[in-house]
Amino acid sequence: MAAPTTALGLRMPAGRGARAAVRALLYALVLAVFVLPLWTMVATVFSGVPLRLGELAVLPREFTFDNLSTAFGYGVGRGLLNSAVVTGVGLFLQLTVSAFAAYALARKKFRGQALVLLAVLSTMMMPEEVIAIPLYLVLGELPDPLGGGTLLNSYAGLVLPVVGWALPVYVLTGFMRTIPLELEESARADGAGDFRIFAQIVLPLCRPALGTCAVFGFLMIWDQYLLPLLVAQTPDMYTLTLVVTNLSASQEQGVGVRMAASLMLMIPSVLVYLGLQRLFESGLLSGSLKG
Amino acid sequence: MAVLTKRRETAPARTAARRPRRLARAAGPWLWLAPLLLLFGFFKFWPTLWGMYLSFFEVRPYLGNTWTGWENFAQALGDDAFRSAVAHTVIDAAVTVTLSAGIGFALALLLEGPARHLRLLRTAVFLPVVTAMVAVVELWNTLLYPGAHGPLNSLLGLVGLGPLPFLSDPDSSLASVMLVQIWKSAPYDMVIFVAGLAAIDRQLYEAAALDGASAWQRMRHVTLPQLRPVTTIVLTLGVIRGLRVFTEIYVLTGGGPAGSTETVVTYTYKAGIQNNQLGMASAVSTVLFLVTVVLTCLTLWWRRRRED
Amino acid sequence: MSTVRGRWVGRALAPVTALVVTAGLTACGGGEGGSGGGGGALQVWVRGAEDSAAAYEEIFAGYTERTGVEVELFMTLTDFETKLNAAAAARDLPDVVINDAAQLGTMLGQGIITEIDRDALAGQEDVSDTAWASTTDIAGATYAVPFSAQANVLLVRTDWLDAVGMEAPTTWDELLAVGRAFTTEDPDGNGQDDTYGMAVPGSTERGYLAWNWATYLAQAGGSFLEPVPGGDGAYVSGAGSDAAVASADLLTRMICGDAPMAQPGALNHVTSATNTAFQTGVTGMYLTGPYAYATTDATEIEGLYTAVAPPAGPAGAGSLAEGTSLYAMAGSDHADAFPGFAEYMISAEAQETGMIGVGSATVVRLPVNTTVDVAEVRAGDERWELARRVYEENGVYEPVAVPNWGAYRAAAAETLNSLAADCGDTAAAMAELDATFTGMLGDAGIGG
Repeated sequence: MAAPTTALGLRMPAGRGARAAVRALLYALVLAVFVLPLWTMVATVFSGVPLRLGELAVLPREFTFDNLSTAFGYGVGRGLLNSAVVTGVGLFLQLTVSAFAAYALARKKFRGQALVLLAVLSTMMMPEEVIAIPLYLVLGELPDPLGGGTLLNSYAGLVLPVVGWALPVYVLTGFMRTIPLELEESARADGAGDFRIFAQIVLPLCRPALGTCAVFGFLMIWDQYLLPLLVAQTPDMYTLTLVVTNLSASQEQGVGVRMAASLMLMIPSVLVYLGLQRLFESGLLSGSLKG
Repeated sequence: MAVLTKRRETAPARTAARRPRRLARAAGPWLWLAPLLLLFGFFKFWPTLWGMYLSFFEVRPYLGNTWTGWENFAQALGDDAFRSAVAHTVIDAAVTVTLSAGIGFALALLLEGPARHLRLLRTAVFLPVVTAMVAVVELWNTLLYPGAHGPLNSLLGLVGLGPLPFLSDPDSSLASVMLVQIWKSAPYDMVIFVAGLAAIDRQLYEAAALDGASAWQRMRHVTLPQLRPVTTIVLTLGVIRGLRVFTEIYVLTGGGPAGSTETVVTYTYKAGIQNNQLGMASAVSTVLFLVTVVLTCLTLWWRRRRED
Repeated sequence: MSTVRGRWVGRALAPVTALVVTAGLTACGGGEGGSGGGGGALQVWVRGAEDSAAAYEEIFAGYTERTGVEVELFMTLTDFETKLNAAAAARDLPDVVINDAAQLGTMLGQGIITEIDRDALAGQEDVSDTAWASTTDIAGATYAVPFSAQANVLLVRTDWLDAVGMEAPTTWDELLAVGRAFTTEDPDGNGQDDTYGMAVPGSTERGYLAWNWATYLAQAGGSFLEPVPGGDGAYVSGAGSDAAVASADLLTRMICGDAPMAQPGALNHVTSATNTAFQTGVTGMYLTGPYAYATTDATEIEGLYTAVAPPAGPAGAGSLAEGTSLYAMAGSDHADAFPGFAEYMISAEAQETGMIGVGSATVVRLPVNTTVDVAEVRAGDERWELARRVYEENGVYEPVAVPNWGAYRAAAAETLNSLAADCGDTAAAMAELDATFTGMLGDAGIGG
């Protein structure tokens, strides 16, 4: 019987003691490096023992929910809600806008195409940190489409600047180019218009790439720190990242409460990743990142 | 619709429709692109251009801006702190990108494969990537506590090492920041390499094995060449990301101690937002932007040349 | 899709229509944004944390009750200057900012605060002259209204003192001796070498380390900048003086060198980590403001520490005096409401509410209103009486009125932070800082 082949084409003799042991040891090491730190965060959150500066719990002693409930008392709930709204709406718009643009870039030939690609690429070099001040000025100029006032301290101000992102445009453009034209041509022969072809043929085929983009997009929006810092002015507009950094500057709350807020920041992205993992990985496998 | 349908039957209407149709063909792609370009225009290009404009002024919103020409640029480039910030940024980007890719590749070799336990391990190892940077920093700030009772130092103490000063000593602070960055980005590179490895045709290995190639030879002559496109992406994206590193440094060390972790963007942020030198900060941002553009164009050009 | 024309219109507009529809749909789920500005409410931004918000709300409630003017409070501790500078850049400042007195020169330099007609304020004569002095620019014009004052005190763990058999320090030598004993003699008795003498906020952020240094500098008889006698608002640098070198040496040798006594990581620490170091038994001493009483009493070490006057240096007793001030911001739509607001804030009623209204947040540390009796309001807590005495007898303000004062403090913090990081030559480093200060004064046109 052939032994399973690994990436290197090495034959792994199943059940040969020494090798298996070495592998198991390496697995343990990898877990210790990448997972144990996160575990100490969880343990600290549920540990009721007071910790000194520079200490974390490894096992939760005197199990308690106090840290979590204290953290929620300091706006973690509202922050979660705001972050969820901003990320949900932002991600949806981001994928939509990117897919539209990708469709034009992958399927149309037009003057200025190279220029558009260059423009999209150049936005990757304009992160918020670099354009923070003028971006703030712009946000103060633009009206809030959902109400009076400007984009400052508005949900639209938290969402709109993160909708346009180069990465999903590239990923989706690259992916759409790999989709064979035949399907679309036959649909077009049946009288289908661009939008129907886009919505009924191209988009469904893009599912894996959309999954990849959704994971990246979620993380990108969920992680936003500087933009909400500039936009949100009243605590009811704070996203969870702001709540976490405010708590960590707190002079009253111990490490357990701060870790509780961080844990709440971590859980949704883990859940989203686990939920979209298969799509995400098949998107990567099908070469959506090779663009 | 009924009106339009009727028109279709008459010949003149048909020719009339032709012109807009041609127009539509030309306008079509732009309508698909419009939402994206509008958003980029408002939230990327407009602020960038505004920033470039401000680079040439001493900016004082309530006292009036004063035109200063190239003085902001001269001031920044003449500042030792800025020059060392540039050096830290380059070192940080180069080292984290290389090590992340290296460790990511090693992880990919170890964890690649369809087996269930490997999938689980990969998922677990990927967790740092999906954890928000703010939370990662909060956690590592404590893990790296420099006292002997700090978590990592306690571990080192068990094997008779340390305590290490980590973030608190100018000699080790940048390395400590890079440790955190690599911890978060190596699993990301791993996933991309796993995808790359899985895409390699297994028959290539079989053929190489039949030719009597050793494991090392198969790695050198089959695996690595096949991974080249993936590697280019990992490295290019990494460098672009690396040049604008901000959140982790700002929250972990604030650029200290003794400026040993100051990077271009933390320098800009401090100058502009903490010390009100908006003009100077804009000038630095402009320089950073132009440098990134040049670097990216070079990379693209180099890639294209190789491919041709 | 039945017509040629219909097809192209549909094809062309589809993406845009779809976007508008989805944007409309999502808007419904978006909730409501808080209103940024305008309206009838007085917008007040405060730099502070957590429970302080409740304390300010309580004071503002009294103001609203009296005047009918609503107050919209915005409060943050992290990145307060980020938000303020961004708002200034957008010319969209709040009406009032409540921030450290030490921000006076910085905000003056930005041109974002307006002059105050001190004599027109009812009750201004009840406010101490020392406090008013901290709100005056170098030409003598008033640019803020004092709201709270304090000077630094030294918090010391009494149980640790007992364990090492020492008394609370009263001189620099004793300070070093106690610090070393706390670091080396295992005062918490856990058998591990994990305790330290002094909690030091050593970060350069907001100039923290220079802030900490200011008390030692005063005790050595030095100052950051010295006004030139009869120099008409001119200053010379004090950073190269013997006093500056001696005090910088004392401070940086707590962090580096043969016998460091500061908590590990001090050079990256701002207030929160430094507080935690003292509150969780990592260090046994902490030089800080009396506002730390409330937060520290809420931790494990309540009752295990005492407050004493900062140990005297070569030039005697001294302590950094600081305050919180009310700033009237430029471009305010409610400029006419400011005097009434300020009058209420300095009234005995508001001052007392600020002192004890919310137990865990003393937003008024020491009242600026001299008719308020600290001992009476704080009955039973002698630590506050100590704080008052230190402030009145030994308090020394930084030269906060110098335009862009924050930049000087930042430069001093950078120098001290680098010095403590590599334990370099103190005299050389201070000479360099001296040159930097002189250059900055010259650039600002106020050099001596």
